[in-house]
Amino acid sequence: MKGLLEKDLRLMISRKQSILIFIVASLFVAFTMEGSFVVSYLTMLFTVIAISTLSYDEYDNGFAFLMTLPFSRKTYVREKYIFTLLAEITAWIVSVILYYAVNMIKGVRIDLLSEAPVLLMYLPLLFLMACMMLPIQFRFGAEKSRTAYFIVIGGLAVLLFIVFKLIGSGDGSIDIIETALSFLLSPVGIIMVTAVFLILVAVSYLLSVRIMEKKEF
Amino acid sequence: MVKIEGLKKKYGDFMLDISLEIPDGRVTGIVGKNGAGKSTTIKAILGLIRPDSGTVTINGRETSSLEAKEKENIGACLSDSGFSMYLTVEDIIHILKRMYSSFDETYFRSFCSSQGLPLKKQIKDFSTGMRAKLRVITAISHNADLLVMDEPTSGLDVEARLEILDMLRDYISRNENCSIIMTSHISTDLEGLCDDIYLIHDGKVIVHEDTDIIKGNYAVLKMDDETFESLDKSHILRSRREAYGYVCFTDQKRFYTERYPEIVVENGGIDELILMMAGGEKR
Repeated sequence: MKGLLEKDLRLMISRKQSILIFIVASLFVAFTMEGSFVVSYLTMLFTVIAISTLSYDEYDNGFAFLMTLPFSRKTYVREKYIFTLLAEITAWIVSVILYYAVNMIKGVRIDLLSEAPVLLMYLPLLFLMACMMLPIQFRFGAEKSRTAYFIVIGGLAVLLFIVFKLIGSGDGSIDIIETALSFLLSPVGIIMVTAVFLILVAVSYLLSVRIMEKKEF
Repeated sequence: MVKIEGLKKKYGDFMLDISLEIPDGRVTGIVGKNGAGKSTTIKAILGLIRPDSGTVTINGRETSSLEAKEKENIGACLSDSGFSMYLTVEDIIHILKRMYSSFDETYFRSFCSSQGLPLKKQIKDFSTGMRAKLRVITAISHNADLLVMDEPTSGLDVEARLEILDMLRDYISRNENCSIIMTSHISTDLEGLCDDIYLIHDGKVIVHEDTDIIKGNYAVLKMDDETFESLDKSHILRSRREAYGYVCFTDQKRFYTERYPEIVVENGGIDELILMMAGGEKR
């Protein structure tokens, strides 16, 4: 596992020029845009970069050799999830610091404590995005997974559209949303959301393990 | 060390169906034409493919269920796969250090410096020879008991090839109990290194023999039609019609040199073995 983390970190560093460009772009975003967009932007970028180490492993038939190294396929999958999570958390911390620092320079006072719930929400949401991307990438590889992402994201968009349409068509639609929100923020709601989050992560991980264990190189 | 029993794997029309065994301390070569099943065999040993039936074991353990610690005892070198091209040798040293408890960093570094492998350059900027050397040094740098090498000298000039073979000889002399399984298109590479040879043809093992016996007892016999007609064919493995007469392949050279002085006898090697056994007609 340590060897795999080292490999992915080094693969990520090998893209230092792109990373530098992303950070400069983030600085630009932080200075020009209001609100905490920069936090979600930078965190998402680094999450995607972490996932893209999978493409580097796959490139030039690299999987065959990689799978001869001393770890199981399950460990390989687990490491990808851990590495992605670590990259995401690191990027989140850096971007929160950046967000705070830039606003200090701009002379805008930010109450981090009151913004904390929103900022913290990015972490599970973006990790869920990673959990959606990883099994697709494991299953289809770097090239084909782009098409798969389109289909999945398109499917989700259609689903959301239908859900909103259904909610919107009824009379008391605002009431439904308000009730839903207040439920989600209640202790029971938080526990349920956390449980759903953990279940989704577990399903994604188990799916990825299954895909990798079936693969031939 | 390695045991393949009744391994079957189907790819479209191709069917691999082999059994073989590599004992401790033995260097075994696998030869055959392109598409014969050599690489599939190597992949099965490394657990990269799932057999349709049969078993592949290393020290009695199924290859697909080897623990990380057990995999540390295997050094693999694949002809078409290696570490990501975006890594440098320095990166690889750090990765291997964390992967293998017995990684010999001093040996690895001294080898890289003696072979002129730059530490800070990405592998994508390496020449074919440099990449091949890096793959071999990676496989032999952690005191593995089993080296599995698929075409380690493929696409290299003679100098680079000899250097790689020297590396392997050096490894064998330092690790007497280590087993090596190796495929190659270049028969002289195997003749100078392997204790025994498996010839695979159309997914099946058609010859398994000690290299010394192949070199000493096998021969190509050339004769005219008349001699061929009267020839005792009990030790002829394959024969082929040529413009001037017949070419035969035997595993009993002395039998024919003593009885038929008029026959032209050429020593058999691995090349002749492949050409005749995988190409000639059964007698």
